[in-house]
Amino acid sequence: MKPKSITILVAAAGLLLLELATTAKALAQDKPKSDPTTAAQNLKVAKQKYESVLTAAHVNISSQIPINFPVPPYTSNVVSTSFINSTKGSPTATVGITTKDPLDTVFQWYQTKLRGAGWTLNVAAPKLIVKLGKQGQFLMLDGEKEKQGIKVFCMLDPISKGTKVNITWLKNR
Amino acid sequence: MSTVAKRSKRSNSRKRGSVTAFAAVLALTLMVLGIGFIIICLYMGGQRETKNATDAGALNVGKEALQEPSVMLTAADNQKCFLDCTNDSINNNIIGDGRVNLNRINRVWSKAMLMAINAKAASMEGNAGSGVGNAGSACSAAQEVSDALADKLTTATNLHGFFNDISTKNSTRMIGVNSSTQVRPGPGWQTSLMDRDAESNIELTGSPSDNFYLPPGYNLPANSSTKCTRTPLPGAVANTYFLKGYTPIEVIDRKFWQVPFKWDDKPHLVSGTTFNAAKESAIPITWAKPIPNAFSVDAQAKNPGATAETAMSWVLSNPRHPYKLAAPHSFLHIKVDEMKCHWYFYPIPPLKVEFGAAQTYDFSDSPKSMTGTPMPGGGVLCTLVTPPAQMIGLDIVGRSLDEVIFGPPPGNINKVEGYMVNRANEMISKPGVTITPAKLHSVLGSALTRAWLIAGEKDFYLFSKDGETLECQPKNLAQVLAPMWMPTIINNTPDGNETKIIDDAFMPGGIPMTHVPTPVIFCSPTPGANWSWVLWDKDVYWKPGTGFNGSLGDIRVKRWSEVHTVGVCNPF
Repeated sequence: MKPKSITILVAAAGLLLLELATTAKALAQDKPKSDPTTAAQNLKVAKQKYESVLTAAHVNISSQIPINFPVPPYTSNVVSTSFINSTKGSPTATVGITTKDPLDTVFQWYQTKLRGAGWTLNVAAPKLIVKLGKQGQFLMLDGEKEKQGIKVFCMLDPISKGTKVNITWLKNR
Repeated sequence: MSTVAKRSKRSNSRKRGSVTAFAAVLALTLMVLGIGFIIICLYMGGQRETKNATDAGALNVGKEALQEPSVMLTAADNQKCFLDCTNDSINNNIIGDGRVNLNRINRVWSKAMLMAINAKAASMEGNAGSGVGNAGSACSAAQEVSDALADKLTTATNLHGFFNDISTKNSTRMIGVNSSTQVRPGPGWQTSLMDRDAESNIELTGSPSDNFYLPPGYNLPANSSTKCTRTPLPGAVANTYFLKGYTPIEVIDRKFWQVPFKWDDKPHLVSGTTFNAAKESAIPITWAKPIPNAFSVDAQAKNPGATAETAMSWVLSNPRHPYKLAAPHSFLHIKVDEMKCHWYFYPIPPLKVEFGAAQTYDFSDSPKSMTGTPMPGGGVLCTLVTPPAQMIGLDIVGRSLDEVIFGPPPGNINKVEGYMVNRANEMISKPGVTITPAKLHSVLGSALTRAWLIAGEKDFYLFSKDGETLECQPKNLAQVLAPMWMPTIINNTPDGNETKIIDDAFMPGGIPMTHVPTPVIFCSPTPGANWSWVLWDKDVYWKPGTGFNGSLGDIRVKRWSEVHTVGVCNPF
């Protein structure tokens, strides 16, 4: 699926060549750097390179959570969201949500919502969290519904004191 | 006195004399008949007593021949591997005495066949290693033991004692007070191969629909299994399949044999006609030295110096002791590799480059925030790409061994499951017990395995200490729970070669995060193109073992995380 690592040396050499070419091209340009056509073209090329990475890595990334994602997104005091799904093999996806709300509130909200939506939940026992040394910092549950599986992780964001939510979903489990 | 009167008197006197003579003759005749009748009664009674004593002796031969004669296993590796077949218990922790007898010979043959099946399945996938050689060696040993046992069982003198033990205790008083029924050596002592194509006492797990829980991809040769052949079919085994007796079962070009013993059929007497019709001389068999399951006995009872009564009897033996097709002293090793987080960059898309040292994470410290080494020139028109901190270890945190093996990321878990369920069933000796996939997952998913993983344990052993239940324990505990046999084999490695059966299954597992790369001169970060994400990856390796040295295989799970960071800048 993924090529094996190339040596740092090759990378560095490639980088050097790229930089030299780019710099030479930039210095040789007669047109002003703010030329909208050139800028748009440059942007397009850059985006294509980015897209080629996603294609090779068999993933798709977005800052928006798709509306058909089977787990409802937490919406209160949300700071950022992100979404990634696989484009090869079994359908899998991960949603990331950062909120200012406290850990327990967010985790409780997910339990209620998921149970209401017919998911069968298996919540990690507090004893397990203690054993992991993560009490007050981390909560998790697994859910099953038909042939879908989810794993919801709620983690204390040490900087904002809010919560980071990570939901992984997979089909045909 | 008148002449008439005189004549009448003489006539009467003559009549009286005639009756007396007749009575005397009659009495004599009756006496002779009576004595003859008594002699005939004594003769017939003696014959019946002799026959009864012979039948009793024959039944004892049919019973005792199951235990003795026997063949002692040698210390050679290819015979030692059958030590776990030399007891009459399904409890794996009861150690055998090393003797193979008629009761146990089917266990030996079936274990040898099981090793061959494992080797064949592995060779079909090209990873048999030395498994085929080991299985062949075990088959040769089974053949040697079987041949030696056949020699002993077909040597009548080995059975005479069992006959006399019982026959002499039976009264033959009608022949004489001092008479007893004893062995009459000679051609009357023969063996037969009865109930051909009937079931042996080795039960298969499951049914043809689930391929008897044999290794995935392997199919038992047609005509090598049968349901119970008793009529009417006993309800207890209505859905049970057995190996077929006196039918060669070919695996890896070797022939494996079973002696038929109809399920729960008592040893019983059979007619001489039936016995003779099933003799090897009557219906040849390709088994060079077949183990007989029926015996004829010949006996005589006589008073010293008198004419003997003789009798023959024919008995069909049966241990009435079913076993399962199993390798009782065996285990499956499960190894969890150290988990690492690798950091990837894309200086020349779409080629990826690993940069910076991989960092380890474990069950005891996950999840944890990790930051990779910034890579100079790690992106398009970037002088420096610094991956944002990512939460690593969410793929394993708080997980049981079952989830570590079968949990996300997905992959071809069916094959892994198939191998593990197959091997788990090979450890079970108790007939009727089946390790289903659900049971396997239940054992591997035990809360104890979570605790062991958090405690740092990486090696687990799947085994059955009692032949009935499945255990998954770390090395030390496995040795404690099966103290009589596990310590001697636990360090043995499988005789097959390792192959990857789940090859880099992956799924996105962390929160995708944006980052800002440092651009080269006259460039700026491309909007919406600078992301960092985490992938959970998993490989599962399978190294098959035949069970020759106790190891039925290794399952090795390699999990790792990859943080991919794309840095893209574009000229102004």
